[in-house]
Amino acid sequence: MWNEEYDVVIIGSGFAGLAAAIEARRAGSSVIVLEKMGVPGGNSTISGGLVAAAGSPLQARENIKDSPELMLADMLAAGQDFNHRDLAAIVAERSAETLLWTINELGVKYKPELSHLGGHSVARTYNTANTSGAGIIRPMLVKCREMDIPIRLKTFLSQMIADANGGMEGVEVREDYIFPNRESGSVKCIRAKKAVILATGGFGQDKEFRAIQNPLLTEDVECTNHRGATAESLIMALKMGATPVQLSMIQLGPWASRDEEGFGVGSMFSMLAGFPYGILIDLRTGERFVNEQADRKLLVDAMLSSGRESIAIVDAMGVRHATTLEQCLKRGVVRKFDTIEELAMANQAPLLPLKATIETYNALIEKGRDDRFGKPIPKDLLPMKHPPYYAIRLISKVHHCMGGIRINTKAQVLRIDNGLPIGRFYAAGEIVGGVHGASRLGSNAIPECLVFGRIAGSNAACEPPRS
Amino acid sequence: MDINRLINELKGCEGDIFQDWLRQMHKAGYDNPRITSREDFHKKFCSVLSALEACGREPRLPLFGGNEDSRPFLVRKLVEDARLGQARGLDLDFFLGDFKAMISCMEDRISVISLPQEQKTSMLLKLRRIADLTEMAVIAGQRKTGAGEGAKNKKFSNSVTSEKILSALFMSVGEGILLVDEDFEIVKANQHACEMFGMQQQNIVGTDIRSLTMDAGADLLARYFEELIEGQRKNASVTCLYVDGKTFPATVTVTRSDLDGKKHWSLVVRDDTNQNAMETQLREEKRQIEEMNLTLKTVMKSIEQDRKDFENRVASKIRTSLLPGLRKIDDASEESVRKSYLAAFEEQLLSLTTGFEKELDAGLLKLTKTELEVCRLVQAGCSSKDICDAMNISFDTIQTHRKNIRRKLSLNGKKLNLHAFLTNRAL
Repeated sequence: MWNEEYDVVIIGSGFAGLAAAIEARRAGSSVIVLEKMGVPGGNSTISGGLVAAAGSPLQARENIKDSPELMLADMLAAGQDFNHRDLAAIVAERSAETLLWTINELGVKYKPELSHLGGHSVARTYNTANTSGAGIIRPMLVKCREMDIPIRLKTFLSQMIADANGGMEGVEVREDYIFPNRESGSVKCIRAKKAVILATGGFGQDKEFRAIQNPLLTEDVECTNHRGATAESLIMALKMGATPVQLSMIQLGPWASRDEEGFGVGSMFSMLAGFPYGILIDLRTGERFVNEQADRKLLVDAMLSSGRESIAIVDAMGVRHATTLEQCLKRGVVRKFDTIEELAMANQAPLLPLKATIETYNALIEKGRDDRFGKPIPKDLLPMKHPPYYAIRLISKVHHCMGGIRINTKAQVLRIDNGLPIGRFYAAGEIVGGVHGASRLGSNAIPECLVFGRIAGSNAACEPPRS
Repeated sequence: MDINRLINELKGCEGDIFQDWLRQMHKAGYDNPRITSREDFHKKFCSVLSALEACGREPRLPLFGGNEDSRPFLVRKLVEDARLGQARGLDLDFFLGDFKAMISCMEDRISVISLPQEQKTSMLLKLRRIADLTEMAVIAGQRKTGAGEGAKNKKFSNSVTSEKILSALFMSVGEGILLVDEDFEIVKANQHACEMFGMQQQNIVGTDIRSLTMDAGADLLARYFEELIEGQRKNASVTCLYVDGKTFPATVTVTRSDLDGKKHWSLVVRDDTNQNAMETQLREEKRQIEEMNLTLKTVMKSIEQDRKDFENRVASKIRTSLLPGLRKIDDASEESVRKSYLAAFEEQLLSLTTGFEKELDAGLLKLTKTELEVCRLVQAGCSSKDICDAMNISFDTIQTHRKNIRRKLSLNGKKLNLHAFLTNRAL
């Protein structure tokens, strides 16, 4: 019945899948990566390319004191202790080593400055040089090519095949699959002599499935994910006996632009400049309403409550942190105004309250007083008084699925009825639930995917091969 | 005057005005839900209100501006809307129709608001003026970009459908299509192009086209961009870069097609990997056929040579022995003499075939002289390679000879090698 046979069969070609492939291949196993879409990289390649690491070289240079314990504490705080602590701890512990692995093993290029993202207690975020996850995916693909790891595109996982003991024996796929037509392509069976690794990401684009988990997320709610971020592989894993974890915890990104589709270029503008160096304004009142540096969940909740329409404003000084500014202006996602008056009129914000808000905010920074919303006031934060001013219209979009299937610290998928590992079945990346609890901190996804991808890859390669 | 109160009143009944407007649009035959969307309506509605609000602060009516630069700031947003709409495929008629319908719905609503008549009149006047200003600015703007003309008689719904069809076509075309702007940035890419370069739409848009080519490709494209005039087309063979660092040969057809008064270039990219492989294979096959041809020619030539040698031999025998013999028989008058001549003649005739019948068996008789030569060398224990050298003919030729020899000696299909067969045979 088997058409092909490899030691390790990996489903998904994002951060987790490719990291697993590289490690398994390095350990001497034959590996194949299956990807249902026509291009590799999934959501990873369109992500912002932000990587958190506790105890990194840039932190050492900047004299920033950080530790895995502090990073874990931040994760638990944002995750409201819904986190599966053992998994979260591994991500924090291995974050710095994983960052170095991307630099030394893959040759990933990062910008020479750290970013301080909302919810992190210190600046610990590396930015890829091209401000995109492609800055990591591309070197990973190059590595795979050098290591002779085949990445088979347009190959859809249609069924998981179990052996007599309920362990994973292989997969049934459809080759030359045309997304999203489930009937397309031709059926083939691929056997895994050692193990199957599921690294298929989240289900943010699966409007039906996400509404089942969280009925508030109707199909009108936009999404930053690529089209292929759907739930079918998660459902298959559940059918194999995997344990579902917190599937309703679906994160919205508060920084996305109203004026473009998906993640776009605006998200990075808000994340790197608008929120940390600017202010978030309620268009009805012209006032601030939240700590712009809060974690994503708090921001989204604040923005969505009572149907607020909000914009983020930043001045000429703050905008220097925005790496995607040019593209934002070119595509009309961010607009530039010479005066606050023009900005207010164009956004239909009440002028006087807006001016008052900015004055209060500036005074806060100049006098070093505490913000009533609790926004941290770091030394490099300047008062907003340098025109021109830049504004982005915001709308929250579905971004990340914290929930997924349950794994142990070896990345083995755990069975729902007895909590024991399902034989020869590993998972890593967004398909896994529990690492981030109620809310994932920005720039923590890439470390998670890489850390558990690598763990899954090396452990899968250690399985005794089937005869 | 309490313009703000009026505006708030209007804001409060935006929903009703929207419904009125929907009905009007429906009556006019525009009931495509995508076009008559709440969002678009809301945007326009808010723009008009904020323009009204701005007017409210001025005691006088806004003036008509003479040109674009003096166009009052307050309608700029509406004009921009129209421009964006145009970019989405909405034509001028439609924008104005939809806009005027909204204004008249607002007017209707204002007239039933409970406020002093004087204030309502002033408000209505301002609303009219804003509508006129917008209309003028929109038309001026559209004239400038040269659009709106020609599209005039087109039904609006048609243009949206055709836009959809166009974009569906664009996305599904089996060749990669990229649209590049003046900064060499890709502004649009179809599905096939994404797959060719292994990049998602989101990644490829905004990428510098030059970073997707190798070697001289970037300069070549840059030169074409420089040289091409609008509508002109040129082909370039370049090496392109797949996302994992692999390269592939491609033919790029560059056309300059200006949009919105800005220079753009459309690139149709064709992956030549398969074509090149096929070409190489064809070339290889052709080479092999030519070689075979040459071998055959050599073999034919040697056969021809053998035949000529044989003819010559026979001819010279006839000339030197038989013809004189015949003449002698003719001259001889005596029966006995003629008889002995005839016997000698018979002997001569038999000797024509000397060297064939006597010592060689039937099979060997069929061999040509060259083939015999080959046999002799094989018998002496030479390898094909040795024979090549000895006879100064190519290896392939030898092989052909050997094949023919085996056939003539009926050795085909037998497990007997030629050398063994020839041992102890007189050649």
